[in-house]
Amino acid sequence: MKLPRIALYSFVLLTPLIVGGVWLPNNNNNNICIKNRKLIDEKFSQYTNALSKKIIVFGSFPILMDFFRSGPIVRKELLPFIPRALSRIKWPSYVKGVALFSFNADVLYRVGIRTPNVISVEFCYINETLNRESGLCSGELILYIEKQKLKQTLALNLQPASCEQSKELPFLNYYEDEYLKFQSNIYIELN
Amino acid sequence: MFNKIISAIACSAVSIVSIEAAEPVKIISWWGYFDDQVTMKSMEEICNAAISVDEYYTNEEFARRSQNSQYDILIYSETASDLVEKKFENNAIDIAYLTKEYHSIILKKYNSEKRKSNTVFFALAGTMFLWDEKQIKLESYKSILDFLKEKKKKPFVVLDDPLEIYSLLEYGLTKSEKEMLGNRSLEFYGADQYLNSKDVIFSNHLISLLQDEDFSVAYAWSGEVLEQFEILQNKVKYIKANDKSKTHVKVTQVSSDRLPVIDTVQADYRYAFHINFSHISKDLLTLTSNSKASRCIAELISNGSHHDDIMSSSYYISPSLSVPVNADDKYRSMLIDFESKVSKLPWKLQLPKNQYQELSANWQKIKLGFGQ
Repeated sequence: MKLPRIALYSFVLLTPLIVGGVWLPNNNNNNICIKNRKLIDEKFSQYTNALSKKIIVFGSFPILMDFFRSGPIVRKELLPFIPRALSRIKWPSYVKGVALFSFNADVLYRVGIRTPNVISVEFCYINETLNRESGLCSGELILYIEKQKLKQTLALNLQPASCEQSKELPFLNYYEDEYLKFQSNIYIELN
Repeated sequence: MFNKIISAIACSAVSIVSIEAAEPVKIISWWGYFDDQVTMKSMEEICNAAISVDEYYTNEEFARRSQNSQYDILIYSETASDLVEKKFENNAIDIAYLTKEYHSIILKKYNSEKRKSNTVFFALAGTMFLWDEKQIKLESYKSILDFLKEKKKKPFVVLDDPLEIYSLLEYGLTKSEKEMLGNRSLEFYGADQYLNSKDVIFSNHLISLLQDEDFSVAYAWSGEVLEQFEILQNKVKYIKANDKSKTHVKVTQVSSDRLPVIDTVQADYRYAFHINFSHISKDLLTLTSNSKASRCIAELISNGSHHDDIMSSSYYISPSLSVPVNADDKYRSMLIDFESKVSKLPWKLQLPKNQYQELSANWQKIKLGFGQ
């Protein structure tokens, strides 16, 4: 049985068009996804680094170490100095409140608004220097985050693309460097 | 009626006495001595005191903090005694009677040092090595110089106290080695070249070493060595109990109690006083307040069952050299070993203030890597 000539021509001509029609938009979509992902990673890393620097400075104040390592009497004496130490850092506008916890998870100090989204940072020291890997943990800092404000600050401006993996991304869900370890429960929806 | 009123007044008076507010007692101390909450609570009840303990980890931290606040009881290394003992000298406070239970050798040492009347010995420690036998054979080193030369290549945790290292070198180097190194005792005989490495960790606390898979040796205080050894052993027991199928016990997760990534099968940890390299260090106690509660607490932490509890939970050594009733086997054998060596081991060296300042400045240089 012979195929009609018209069918053969149609097959030869249409196949690349059909394949290309499916592949090209997909490929384009993938490129957007990769581009978006790159942008997201860059932004996240930029904000993580900026925040981490501020926290390292705060965590290195001797007053904070003393506060963590003190008993109840001296801790009370040091309490007035904690807001002063906090105010020496220019916190990003998406930070709405701060809390300090002892290593036994007792609240030692809290200020500002408590939001459901938090970034928690462990302060561990070798002698009087922050050292995430080998230090002895003395306390924890909780930053209360306003998620909407954080999204605005990140200003992702992504191109629309149907990237399944990019619908919601963790922000600082887990991060560690030489000095600090961060954890958060923040997910940024990408729309 | 009158009797009822009298008895009501008497009852109120009794209640007032019984609910008399606990007197605050401020203590500054090395970390770890006062972690046992049961002992703390018991002491608070006996002395009607509200104890507040501030912990520190280095002599520098102690120096800074002891200037910033007024403490009733200070517990500190003799390295800092120039700073504290003279400043807080108080002839009105005499606690020398707290030395009556000291072992005869320790009492002789205490008497020879002519301490101020408000200062006694609180605890002793021998400097000790904790090492992995699979990586180094400690007994093969006859000189501390040979040891340091070789140690340069591997992670090494060393006490962050200039007088401890000064004493280690003074006792550990031979006369000819000292001469060869230019007799520069206050410059640690040029130890920068051996200690100036990213693998050397200056820390009195040994948690650092537990995080390092390549750890081979630490030079530390005996109490800290035993405590960390106990943590390692417990972790191994825990893993073995939970996963009997594993032939190689490897701790891979740093859990909330900050335990290490260490292959406990590959390593063979040991600790010992080294007859050539170890010496005796001591912590002092100075009482600055004559309040009833402060004196009561000072007495409890220096003698008797509360003192024993503090020593056995921290693994440091009582100046009485007694073995607490509740001492575990490891602690008991260390105490027996220490007592057998106490007459042979030298004491940590002390220096006049100006020389100590020079030594301390050189130590900072080494730590910062600004040496040779």
